[in-house]
Amino acid sequence: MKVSELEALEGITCLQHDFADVEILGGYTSDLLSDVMAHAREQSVLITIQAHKNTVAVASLTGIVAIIFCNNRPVTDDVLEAAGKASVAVFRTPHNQYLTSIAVAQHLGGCPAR
Amino acid sequence: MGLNMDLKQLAGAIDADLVWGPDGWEEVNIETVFASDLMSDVLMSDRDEMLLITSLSTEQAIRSASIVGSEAVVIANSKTVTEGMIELARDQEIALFCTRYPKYESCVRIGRMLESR
Amino acid sequence: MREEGMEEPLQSSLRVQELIYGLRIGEVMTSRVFAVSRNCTMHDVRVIMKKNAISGVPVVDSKRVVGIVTMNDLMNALEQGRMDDCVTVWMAGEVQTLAEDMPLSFAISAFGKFPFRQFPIVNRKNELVGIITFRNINLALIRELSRQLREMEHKHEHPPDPESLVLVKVYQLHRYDFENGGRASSEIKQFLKQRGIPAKLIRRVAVASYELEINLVAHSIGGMLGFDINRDRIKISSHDRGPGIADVDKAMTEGYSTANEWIRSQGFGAGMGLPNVRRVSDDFAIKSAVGMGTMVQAVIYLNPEEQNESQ
Repeated sequence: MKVSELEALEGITCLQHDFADVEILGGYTSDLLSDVMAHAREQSVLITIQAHKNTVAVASLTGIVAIIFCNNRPVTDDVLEAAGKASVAVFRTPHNQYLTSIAVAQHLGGCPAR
Repeated sequence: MGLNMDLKQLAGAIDADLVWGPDGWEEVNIETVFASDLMSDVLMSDRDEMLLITSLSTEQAIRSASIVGSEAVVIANSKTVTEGMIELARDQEIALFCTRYPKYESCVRIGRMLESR
Repeated sequence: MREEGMEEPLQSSLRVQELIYGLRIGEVMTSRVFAVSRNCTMHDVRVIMKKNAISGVPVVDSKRVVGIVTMNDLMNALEQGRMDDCVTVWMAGEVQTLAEDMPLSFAISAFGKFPFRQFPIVNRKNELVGIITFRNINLALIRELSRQLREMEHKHEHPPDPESLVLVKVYQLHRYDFENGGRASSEIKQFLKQRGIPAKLIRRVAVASYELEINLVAHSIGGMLGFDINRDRIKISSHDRGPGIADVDKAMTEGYSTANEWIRSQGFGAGMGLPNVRRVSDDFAIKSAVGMGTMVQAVIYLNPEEQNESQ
């Protein structure tokens, strides 16, 4: 599934369209930035409610290509601006992290066994 | 939308190890799963028979879960569980688990188990 | 040496605050305040100060506070032989006033923060309505101590039913004390559970209490969390000594937070605390002043008939 195809999922809307439309290789669900930095993989989508500018910075550093903010979390302009500069797509959904993870995984074709 | 799964099944789905559980924890029914690391987010939930999956391995995670009447907490990503957390879980009678899977994989595995039912 | 003396009021005010918890400045201040108008002279100030044994006289213009003349200013004027001067020459134009509906703890913070011996008290229209000194606070303290002693004696003679749903308790919370943060809320939750309060009500109380408790620990320099419980309602009050909220409306918006990265790494600072408290409460009030502190009050009614329509 490509980044642009995320919007086709139920409830998900795109807030920041300036991104590289690449293939998504996996997902990571966390609201703790240190955790994201330590474990998130390149070319993955981040599922979180931590709608802060630092989230974008961490995403950019770890090679995350898209962020989905859950629970209809308010996202301020500075976050979207930073995401645009870093070419990280930003989406929003009314669903929580649990449901969003499952929905994304269903379309990604599962996650690698560990 | 309710899960209607017991803790034993859920724990099995994510290969979770029990750190501490009250008597009869295996049969406790779970209706919702909540995956979050921010305490206020957890506090927003108003569902009963809830399971919390979190990477925040602190006493506050146990407290927050207890405040909203959660049945159990799963600490994801093989994070270390402290003595303080175990004591608190015991005191608040909340089952405490640990899994090596990150939150994303844990959610997905539970989702798969629901599908295959 | 003077510095040491200055810090003390802040520390000892911890115990003091516990006792006079819940009082407003308006209840403790002296309402009979002596003020002068702009065209009064330093002579007039001397007469007022001597006659009433006070050390600060506010200057008002149509009841609004525009300055203050202190004993210090008077002595300087005397020394320089300028007692005929208008008060406007000597008065301090930047006056630190306090509002009458502020909690008393704000006044205590102010005394600890500023070197002034009195603060003019104003109403919502910024008109002078009273003045507060340390003496006012001491008197309030003695009154409270006497009242609590009487209550203790009464309780001793008429021990309350251990099953009863009455509780008044204050917990102290310290900055960044995450280990203990949450303990008060758990205790109250247990108290309510033991008395058979419905689970949904308990959850609302627990959420409001916990959010306030965590706010005290994570975002303030420390303060108190108080519970006033009876058969009709549960009242939760949070008082902190600082830093105070600059924009309360913003703070009440979901997602807004002033937390730093470390706080966020602890799972807090999501900006949902205060909105969460308001959401679960039947009545909600917040008062804050930068440098003074923040006070939040949340009430949850036990009897459905007393709840708002918005329920």
